Amino acid sequence: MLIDKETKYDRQLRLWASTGQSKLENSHICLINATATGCEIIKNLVLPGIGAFTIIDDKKVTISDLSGNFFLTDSDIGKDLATAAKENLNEMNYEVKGYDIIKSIDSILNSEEDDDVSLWDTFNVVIVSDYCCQLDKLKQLLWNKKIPLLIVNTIGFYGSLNLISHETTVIETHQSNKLYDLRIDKPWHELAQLVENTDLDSFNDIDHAHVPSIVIHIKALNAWKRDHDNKPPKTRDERLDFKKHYITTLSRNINLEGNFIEALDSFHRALRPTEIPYSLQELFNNNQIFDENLNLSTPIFWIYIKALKNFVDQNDGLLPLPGSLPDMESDTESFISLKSIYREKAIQDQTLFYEEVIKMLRSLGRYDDEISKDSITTFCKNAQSLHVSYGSDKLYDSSLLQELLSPSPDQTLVNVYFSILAFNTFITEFGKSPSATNIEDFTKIFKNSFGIKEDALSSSLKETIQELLAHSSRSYHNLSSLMGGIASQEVLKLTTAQYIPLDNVFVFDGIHSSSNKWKINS
Amino acid sequence: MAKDTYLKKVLGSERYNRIRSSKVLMVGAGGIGCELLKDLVLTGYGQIHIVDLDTITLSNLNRQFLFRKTDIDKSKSLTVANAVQSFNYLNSNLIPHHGNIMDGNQFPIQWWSQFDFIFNALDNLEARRHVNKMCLFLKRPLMESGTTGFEGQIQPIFPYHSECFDCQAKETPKTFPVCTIRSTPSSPVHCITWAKEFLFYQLFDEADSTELNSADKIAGETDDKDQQENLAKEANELIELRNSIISKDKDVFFTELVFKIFKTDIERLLLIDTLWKSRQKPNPLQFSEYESELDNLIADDKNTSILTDDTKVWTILEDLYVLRKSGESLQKRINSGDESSISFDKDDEDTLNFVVASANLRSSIFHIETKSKFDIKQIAGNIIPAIATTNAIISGFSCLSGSDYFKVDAKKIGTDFSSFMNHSRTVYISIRPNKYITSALLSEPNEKCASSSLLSRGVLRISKSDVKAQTLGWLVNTLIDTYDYEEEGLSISLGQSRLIYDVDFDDNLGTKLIDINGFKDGELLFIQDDNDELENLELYITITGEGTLTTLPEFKLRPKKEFAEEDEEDYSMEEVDGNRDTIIIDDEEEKAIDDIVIEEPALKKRKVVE
Repeated sequence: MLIDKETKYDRQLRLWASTGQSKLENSHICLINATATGCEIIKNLVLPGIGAFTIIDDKKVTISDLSGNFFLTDSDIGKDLATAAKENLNEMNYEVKGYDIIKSIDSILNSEEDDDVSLWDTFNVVIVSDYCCQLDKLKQLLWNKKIPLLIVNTIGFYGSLNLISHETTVIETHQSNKLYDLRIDKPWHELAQLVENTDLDSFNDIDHAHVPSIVIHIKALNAWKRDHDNKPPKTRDERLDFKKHYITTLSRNINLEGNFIEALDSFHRALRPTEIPYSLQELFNNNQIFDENLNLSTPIFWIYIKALKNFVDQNDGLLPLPGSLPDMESDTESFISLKSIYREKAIQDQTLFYEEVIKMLRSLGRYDDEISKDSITTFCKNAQSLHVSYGSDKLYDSSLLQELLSPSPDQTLVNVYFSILAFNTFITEFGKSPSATNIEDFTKIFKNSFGIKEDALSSSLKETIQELLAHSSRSYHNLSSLMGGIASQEVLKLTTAQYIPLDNVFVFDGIHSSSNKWKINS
Repeated sequence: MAKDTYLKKVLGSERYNRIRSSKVLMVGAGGIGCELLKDLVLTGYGQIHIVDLDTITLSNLNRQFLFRKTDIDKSKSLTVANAVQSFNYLNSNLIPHHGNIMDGNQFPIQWWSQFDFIFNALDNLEARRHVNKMCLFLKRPLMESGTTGFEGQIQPIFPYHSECFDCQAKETPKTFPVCTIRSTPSSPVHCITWAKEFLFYQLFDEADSTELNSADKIAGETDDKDQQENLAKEANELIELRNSIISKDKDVFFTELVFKIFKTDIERLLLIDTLWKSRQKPNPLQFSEYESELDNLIADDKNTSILTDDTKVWTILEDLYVLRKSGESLQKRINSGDESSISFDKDDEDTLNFVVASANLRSSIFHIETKSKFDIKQIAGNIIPAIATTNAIISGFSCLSGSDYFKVDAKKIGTDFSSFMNHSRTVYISIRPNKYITSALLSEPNEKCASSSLLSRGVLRISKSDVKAQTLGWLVNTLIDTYDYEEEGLSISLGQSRLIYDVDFDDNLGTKLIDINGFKDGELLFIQDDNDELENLELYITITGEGTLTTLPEFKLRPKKEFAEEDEEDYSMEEVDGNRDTIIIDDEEEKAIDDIVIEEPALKKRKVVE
């Protein structure tokens, strides 16, 4: 990377590193409707240097567009909205390529011209801001192409965000709950050897107080198992016994030897069994890695999973060792020798895993260059915290509808969400946004859309609808800015392929400053 | 259609009109500030003052969207005000101030009192504390905000009704004992601190001595005479070395530097046996082993690419090369006469390279892991990751929550903010799927917080004539009369806890106020009841014109609250780590388990930055 660029992006490289950055720079996103919220989203992606963006909009800039949109000026009035917004947004970062398409979604979706048909394949993520005619058609098209679609709505103080994505797989989840995989209960040969060769009795007091706690743990656990039928401590009493008679007694003075104090404090490390996390076992049973389903187009993530399964089968049910160690009270020399034993084992495992992946790729007629040593290392380090989720192409499901229909004290947010959906349906039917005077028509549409038979809507729902129609404006900048921030954060997760994206609906109520998330199932 | 039709509709015309006629202050025009200003302008605030002391740098551009490359080195506050002007549809009156918000001359309390609401968009604790204090003095509502990477929060502060910024203890930067840094480092951060705050500082920065060379501090840490003498000697020689920058040729300076710092000093440390009884001894650098290779490196200009290889961990030879190159340029800069001294700046490549190379050389001598320039930059520069998205979300919350204040008529409620306690919320956002956005109602002030509860505060308006004519004795009597202290029963400190009067220290009683060092506009007087019956009092000194009336704030001091000694501990920010027997909690990396087993109230642990 150029120095200039490295400095400019320094603060974000510290989050997603150059791997995330290069993925971001190779992404092309599409915005449908250059609304205030849409422009905020693009702004937040142009700044960190997304590869390219395309704005699709066939409207002209009017004075009312200006009030909530920071990226349009008086001099833009009368120009094509997509062009004006693109130019103003692009000004922030010319390393990003900006494009505009002055066409209606209608005309693109109904066109049979090659350019229009293949258009969608160029995008990594598509964003719809506010109302989009033929949303269902677009949704289906992108769903089939497995291109993630974000739908963002803002009305008055209310906002909603849907992430419609077939399948989301993440390797670098940055889950902070990663546990150290130390193999204290299953030391491999070299580690066992090192522990064996550490003769505590022969050490002088200084060296004795610097034996790394991991070594102490392994020694203590071995001793325990010898006395207990080869079983680890299980009950609370056994654990206390383990601490008192197997760790403490190894120390010459438990009040002074920091390494032994540390071993006591972190005794649970010794008791955590080395095992494959349940979530990973589930992935091993995923039908995508059945032999008959693997082919030229299987995503590399699933190739990794298959290879990982093979690796585990061939290595006594163990994952590749991540190789990282916690900080420990120790002298540098013993710490470094311990560290290098872990590192060497990690590298050894990575090499075996790499060979397994290559074997898989070749057997499928694919090429080695689909992966790199670095990506293998990253995968091995994250193998315990992979993320897979399956989305839905629906905007609501029966359980969410049930929440709407069985009123509870805390249901404003469900009301808000369904009202937003009905708001867009109203536009389809009447060709304009509803306002406070349209409450009857709106209620009719609401009932029809969601199959509500009862005559009267609940009072809380009525309130929400009144609020929504009273504020019917979609260009309250404050909300646009906030929802734009949230939506663009999701795009960052999807494009850097790091962190776990929204799964899959988010609703915000700015009046009560509350929010909620739901998962819509297929 | 008028441009504000929508806003009137959404906010309601009463609230909108109040916002239109309000004056607000935004402190900080950086990551949050750029976003927030846009939000405030598009919400239609009548007058917005913007204060920032910073200038724009390249690394701001990934998120501070009001700045362009051509703006680098310009004032942030002036630039944002200009940038927003072309989008200022509702004609907010924007008034930028380039300056330090803590500067009492530029921003005296009278200036603060003009604002209806204050938005913080700051990046450091000190300034946040200052703004918090001003808001407590004036009882003005404050919106606090901060982000770190993907995390962020807002906290509305209603003085004396909700928690203030100081009510929750904050994580403060770690400090290390001088001896650890100077004699017995054991981790990379020790060596980086040494390189930046001792070596670099003593060689290139203002000639003042650093904390790391304070004889008092060292004496407080160790009785070992050998070590004390050694540290003093080491520092004196460094001053000689500083002179070599000007008097000697670049080769000589470099050689002297390497020999003294990485060989002689280390050899001398080795002579102090007590240091190495339970530690591994350092290995002095054997420069001769690298000399010829280093000459080869220097001879080829292509090797300057090493200097920009930020993510590689350099070898000892490369560290020496970088030290040589950066030392040479720093020497040149000093000798050119343009700069009499150079301060460490993470964005100044020469200073960063020098610190990285010397920290790494020291690390390898002490058998400590060496690090890449990218990593050392983060530690030495206290760099906090930052992105546009988080700032946009947090600014959105800040503006949204701030606009709540204008739902009510400020004239009616005055400083009674109790109505906000029922619905105003602190909001916290994170990247963790189960903590996407969390919020909580405001808490009452922490009754042990020194800033919001233990004292009364107000403004002492004192006429210039009284300052000239009256003595400290007069002030003491005035205080006794106004607040019912017992005769001689109080003590007074000025500014940063400098005692000017108590019953055993009455030397100043006859001194005119004007002659008391530090008795000036913007200083704080801190008054304590010696009988411990009345609460503490803090007065902000404002000197008014000749002949005006001197006034003290009118209130009755409340009885002092008593706290048992052991309670103090509750207030310190203990990590939740009890129950080790039943709950598995591990190191930093593993801490997220607390999601499952420990229900922490949102916002208890807070890191507040940018």
